[in-house]
Amino acid sequence: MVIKIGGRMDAESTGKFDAACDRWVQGGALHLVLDLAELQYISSAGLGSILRVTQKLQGAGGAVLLCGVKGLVREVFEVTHLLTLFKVFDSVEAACQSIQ
Amino acid sequence: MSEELTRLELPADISSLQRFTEFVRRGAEAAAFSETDLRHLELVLEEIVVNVVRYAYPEGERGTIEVGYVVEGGTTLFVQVSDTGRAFDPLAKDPPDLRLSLTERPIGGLGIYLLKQFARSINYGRIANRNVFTFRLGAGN
Repeated sequence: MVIKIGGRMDAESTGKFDAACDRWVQGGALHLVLDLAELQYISSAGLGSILRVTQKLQGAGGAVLLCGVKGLVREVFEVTHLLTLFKVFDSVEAACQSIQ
Repeated sequence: MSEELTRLELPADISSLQRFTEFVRRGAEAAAFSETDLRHLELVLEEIVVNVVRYAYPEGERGTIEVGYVVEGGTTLFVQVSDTGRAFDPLAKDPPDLRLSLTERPIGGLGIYLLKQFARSINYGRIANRNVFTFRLGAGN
């Protein structure tokens, strides 16, 4: 499943993302490709939401894959040493191909 | 810091975050911040405000947060965030263990670490029964 995230992932907005992830996981999704190309802003709350769904999927044998990681979002993933822990791709297509 | 702060006081609620962000952006624009600088400022402010909202006041108590700023030397923004909640210094927390794997990482605990990466001269003090956080960010940092 490919999820395109735009705008902001902050303490006010992550509740909706968490709820949507719970529905996808309950619906049987094993792999999520998060396209962050249009994401302008992420705080620790947003990182927490991505970690949360990642750990759920990993527990079920799946994974979260990232693409379009740039700007502040890239900086935040880098300084928290998370960028090297995720599989990061240049495009949605490349991420999807890696799953098949 | 000799100049007077421009101040805004709002309920200690996560819904106040957007107004606080818009408020300090006015100071940042006066300090000629770039879009990147503005994002760093938003991040640092959010992490402090969220900490106050979560931990300063007992559940059910309606507290407030005051944010103030002043432009120093034309290109540096001095920001103060204060509240009348219980004394706590989140800056004293142990840093997160960044060597942990994805499955081992705790879901929270990165906020204070993040603000320390992006802000300068961060400080906490308990002054006249208030928690007072201050930090500086410069254009181009």
